[in-house]
Formats: sequence, C-alpha cells, structure tokens
Amino acid sequence: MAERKKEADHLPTSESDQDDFIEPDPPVVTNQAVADTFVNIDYEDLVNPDYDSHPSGYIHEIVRQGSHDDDDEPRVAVSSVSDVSTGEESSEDHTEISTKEISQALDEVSKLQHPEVSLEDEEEIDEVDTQEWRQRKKHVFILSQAGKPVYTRFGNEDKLVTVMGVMSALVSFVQDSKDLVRFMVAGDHKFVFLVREHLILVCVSHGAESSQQILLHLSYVYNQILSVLTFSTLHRIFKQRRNYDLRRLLTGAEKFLDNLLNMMDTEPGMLLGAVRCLPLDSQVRDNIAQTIVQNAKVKDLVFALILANNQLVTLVRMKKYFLHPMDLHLIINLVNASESFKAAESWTPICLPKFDSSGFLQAHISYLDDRCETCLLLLSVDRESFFILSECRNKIKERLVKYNALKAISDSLMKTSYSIQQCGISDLRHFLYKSRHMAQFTSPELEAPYLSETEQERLCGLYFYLHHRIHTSARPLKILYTVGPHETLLGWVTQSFELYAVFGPLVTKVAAIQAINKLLRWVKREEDRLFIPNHVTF
Amino acid sequence: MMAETKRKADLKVIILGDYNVGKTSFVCRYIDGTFQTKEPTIGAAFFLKQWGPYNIAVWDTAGDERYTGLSNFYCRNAGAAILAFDMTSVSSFESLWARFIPLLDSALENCIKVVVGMKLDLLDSDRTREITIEEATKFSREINSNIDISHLPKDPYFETSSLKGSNVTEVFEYIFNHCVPLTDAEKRVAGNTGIVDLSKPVNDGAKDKKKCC
Repeated sequence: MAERKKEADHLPTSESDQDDFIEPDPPVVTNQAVADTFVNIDYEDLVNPDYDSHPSGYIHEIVRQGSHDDDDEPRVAVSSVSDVSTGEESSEDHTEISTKEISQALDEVSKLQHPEVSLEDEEEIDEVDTQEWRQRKKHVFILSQAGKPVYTRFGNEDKLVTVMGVMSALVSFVQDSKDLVRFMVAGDHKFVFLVREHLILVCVSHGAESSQQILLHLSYVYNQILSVLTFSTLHRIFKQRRNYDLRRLLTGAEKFLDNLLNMMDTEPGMLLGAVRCLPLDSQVRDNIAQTIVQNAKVKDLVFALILANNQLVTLVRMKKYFLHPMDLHLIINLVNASESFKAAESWTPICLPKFDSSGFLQAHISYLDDRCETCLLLLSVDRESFFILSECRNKIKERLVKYNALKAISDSLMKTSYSIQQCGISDLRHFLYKSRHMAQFTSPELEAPYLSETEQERLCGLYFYLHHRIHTSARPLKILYTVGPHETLLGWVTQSFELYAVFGPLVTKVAAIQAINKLLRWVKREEDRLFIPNHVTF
Repeated sequence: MMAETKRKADLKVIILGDYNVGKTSFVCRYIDGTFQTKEPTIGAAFFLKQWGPYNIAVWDTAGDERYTGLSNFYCRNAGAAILAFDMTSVSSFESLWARFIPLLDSALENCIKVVVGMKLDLLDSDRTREITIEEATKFSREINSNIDISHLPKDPYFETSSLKGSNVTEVFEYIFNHCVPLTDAEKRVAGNTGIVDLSKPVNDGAKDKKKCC
C-alpha cells in the first residue's frame, strides 16, 4: 500500500503510453497453470505498518485531542471493565501453552487440511467440528497477542480457543528466533499471518488468492478493527491488560468484519485499491459537488461524500487532506453493512486508519431519498457539530431535489452500470480498468457466461491470478498475455492505468491487443462519466 | 453550543440501556407506530418529534460499550432520560446503575429518569421475569431524588412491549406532561397525530353529503 500511496501522488502521465502501444512483445507468454512459488514476497511493501506514525496538521491535532479526551473521561470502557473482571482473566500468560494443548490443537489444525477425518457422533456437534466448517474456502481468525480469540469468520470463537492458542504459539515460536512467520503452504491451503502490535490475524484459505493478496485482505480487516476502536484505544487496552477480551468492545461490530470479508470475495475494488464511481454526467456531478461546497461551509468539516449502492457519487474534501481508498472502502463497508442509518439521521464516531489511526472523526450519516439509495456522509472533527451538519444536510437535500440531481443518481442506479457491448469490442468478455492516479476503477456488468455464482467466483479467481502474476514482487510484469482453458487473459500495467481484460479462449494475440487499444480509446472517451478526475475542495 | 441556539429543541430526551434491550424498536414504535426488529444502532440516531408547540429531540443511542465516549455529547442538557432494560435479563438491569446512571451527570439538574422494562410480551410466553416490579420501582424512585416525585402521577417506572405497542406512548406522554405540559387547547392539537389510517372507515364523507342536502 505504500506503493499505492506513491502512485496516488503521481501526476497523470502523458497519454503516449497508450498511443504508442501497437504490438509490443509481451515479456511473458505463458500457459503455465497456477504453479506459483511463494518466495521473496516483499512483506513490508505490502502492508505498511505506519499506523503509529503521526501525521501532522491542524485537523490531526484535533483528532488526537479527541482521543485524549477519551482518556480523561473516568468511565471509559477499560476502567469499567476491570470492575467486572472474572478470576479467569488473571495475569497468567496465555502464550504459555502446555505441550498437551499444543498437540491437541495441532490435531485440530490438521483437520483443516484433512476434511475426511470422520466425525464422532456426539449429541451436540459444534459447528467448528463439522465438515462444512472445515471446507469453508476462506477462514479468518483474529486473536490477541496473548492468544485470546477475538473473531472468527465462521463458527464460535469460544470453540476455537485451542486452535487460536496454537496460532499464537506458532507466532511467538518464530518470534523467539527474531523472525516473523508470514505464511505456510500445506497442500492447497495457505495459512497467512499478519502480526500487528496487539493483534494476530490469520487467514486459512484454499481460494484463488495469492498470499500477498490475502495479506492485503488481512490488513483491511485489521484496519476495520481500528476503524471501530482506533489504534490508541487498542493500544491503551492491551497495555493495561494483556489478557483483555476484545470481543467486549467489538460487540455488534462483527458484522462489519463479516461484510468486509464477503465484499472482498466478490468486489475487485479492494484488490485494486480503487473505488468504483457511479457513472454520471460530469456536469451533474459538478453540480452535486458545488451544492455540497456551498451548503456545507462548516469549520472542521473534513470530508463530505455521497455514496449510492457502494459507488462514489462525489467527494468534497478539505484542502490538504486526502481520503485514502482504503479508508473510503471502510466507509463504504460501514454504510453497506448497516441498515440502521435508514431509520434516522445518525451521529457516529469512525476512525479512518490511513487518515489518522489515533482518533475518531464524527460522521453525520443520512439517506437523502425515501428509497434509501443515496447516502450522504459528513465527516467532521467537531463532536458537537451534529445540529449544524444536520442543517447543512437539509439544505443540500433541498437543493439536490431542486436540481433533479437525486433523480439523476437514481436513474443511473436503475440503469445498473453498462454492458460490455457498449464498448463495441467483440471477443472481449469483461475487464477491469483502474486509473492509478485517481485510485478509481471501472468495469462493465457481469454478463453471460458469468451469471452463475460459481462462474462469477471463477472470474474473480482469474483476476486474482492475473493481478498476482503482474504484481508479484519477485518479478513484476508490465504485460501478461495468458491463454487458459476457458478464456484468454491480458493484463497491462503502465504508470497511469492498470487493465485486466478477459477474452474468449480462441482470441489471437493480435486481436486481443487490437481490442484493448480500442478499449482504451473507449475508456478515454467515457472518462468524464466513469471517473471523478479531481475532488472538489471546500 | 452554537448549534443548540440555531435549532433549539425544547426538550432533549435520551434513551440509554444495554445492547439489544430494544431501544430502537421502542422509539420506532412510538414514532412510526409499527414494530420492526432493528439492526443494531451505530453511534446514535436522532429523531425530532412535535409535541404541541414544542420540539422534542429524541436521541436513540447504541448500547455497545465502545460508544460510551460519545455519550457526553448527547447526555448534556438532557431534560429526560429513558433507562431501558430487558426484563428477562438481570445484567441489563444492573448495567443501568453501573454504566448509564453515571453518564447522566451532565444532564440537566432536574432531569427526569424513567426506568422502562422492555419485552413485556416475552413474559407471557416461556421466559421468566428476572426483575420484580418492586425492585424496579424502588430503583426508579432512588435515582430521581433530584426531583420531587410526589407530584408525578405515578412512579417513573413502566413495563412495555414494543411488539404489542403496550405502554409505549404512555412513557413519552408521561415525560412530556412532566417536562413540557400542554394547555388544554394545545392538547387537542397534539392529539391529532397527523397519521391518516387508511384502514379506518372514514365517516366524514357521509357527513359532507348531508351538508349538501
């Protein structure tokens, strides 16, 4: 992500990249199947642990001030918890697990790889003992450094105490030799570890993602937790009590983690580090942005954005402050995962880890239309500004109704996105196009043959594969043309864009290259509608 | 603070209580007149209610512990607090005292605290009552030592069911009558809820006809 950050700073490079491309020699032409090696992954580059870095600036000072206020309050969660602690949560160190426990738990881990292990007929079978649980494609576990379960994607954490104990033992065993466990491969399963200051995140997957991509997913999950708690809170809690049961503070937030993981299985946005924009006439979009600027001139309002069906309609930001795509995904996830904003105007704290992991922003969240499709979020550092923002929201809504902008948004939503046929390129089945400097991407609707769920999953797997082959740090590629049994893939990365295209299996290399040149011209023509070239500032 | 002068509500009512006791369902039963099982609230939700000439601000808060830091904002200057607990859960009753009463330090000095037992309908079926009426009533008297409860029509304790709609409106009217009492003329206006019930037979049409003749 450090890499992405840098990219985002890049100015749009000349279009020569696109025009010069007649018929290059693809550096690698291969039919090779997924014979991947998982060596030499640049771990630090992928998941940049810059959370305790202290961004400076006026807004950040307020954010941090806010989190200090929390410290001063006498009844912050932690202190109240210590009154209720049970004897079980004593100071004993949970990383010290007896040998018996380890062998027992290793058995359970091995069950993950050997689903054929027969079930004992017990009266009550825990979910975690079932075949179904073991065969899940992608497990995600979160545990504290002390080995206490925090979250599991499937099943009940309480039943996984031993498995998580083993995970924590593995991590500390490798840490003992001043090293870091990154991943293990066992058969077609990958065990990927993300070790953070207070939390250990583990993913066990037999899906199509590479370990690097899983690592990215795990760092999203970690950021989701920070988004709910802030790093300061997390740090404070575990500094006071290593054995703290974090689930207490995450009650009700599991659905954000669940939803995020489900979104990552099907949405390419997080893999690409880019958001999808709602296709809109650039003039309409400008109008919407200007309406927000004019009616939300409020001190300390940092970001104002409108989302519709997980797509960005517009974003207005304070000068000098940027919204990282990762943070934007967390905001989208927040809105996507909760129905509760539909009932009334809401006022909730949210931490944007890339923006500032040490404190909360306050979000005023409301839907602008009766059908609850268009969601307005106003993010401020002033905890008291609810009523001011609520007034802004009413003015914005009034103007947007008057200018027919809300109707334009719902019309665009009705039309869904666009069909691949609109690009007018035969043989092309589907594509992802990411504008690197805008951190936005576009893709057509999924059409036949990608209508069934399994086919969609397979398509997603193809993109995972293509993305991985191009971005693997062992040998990063610029262009990859690869023929598979069911489709031909072409990936192309330049300084200004990333393109992943899926063709029918019989397309020739020449035809594919002509097709993507045509596609690039089409995207260029539609750019104003599909992307937001720059975000308006207050 | 500037905000409060801009859109000044005449009364601020705040609903506090543990996670999953049914606070949002309770508010929605009152505001919309329907019962829906609600998704957990995120942060806090704001409702504005007209009561005669008065604007009543209702804050429905999330029960999760991590939002405790935010409570200072909506507890400040609250004129009334609804302390909700689940009658089938002792711990939700205990948290009122342990977690939520202290938050009300920043409320108005004469803030009325109404203790509300939720999920009365569950008691009819197989679930057992965990908190007795006496216990809850005693508690409700104790926490209201700041005001003279002898002037109140009854103890500030209610048992309600958002599912069936029993006692929900009563709680709010009890509060409003105490904090912002209406004159008789205002009451008549307030009685008109502004909701048109389509399923109700309308007699007005018949009357109009008579007038014509």
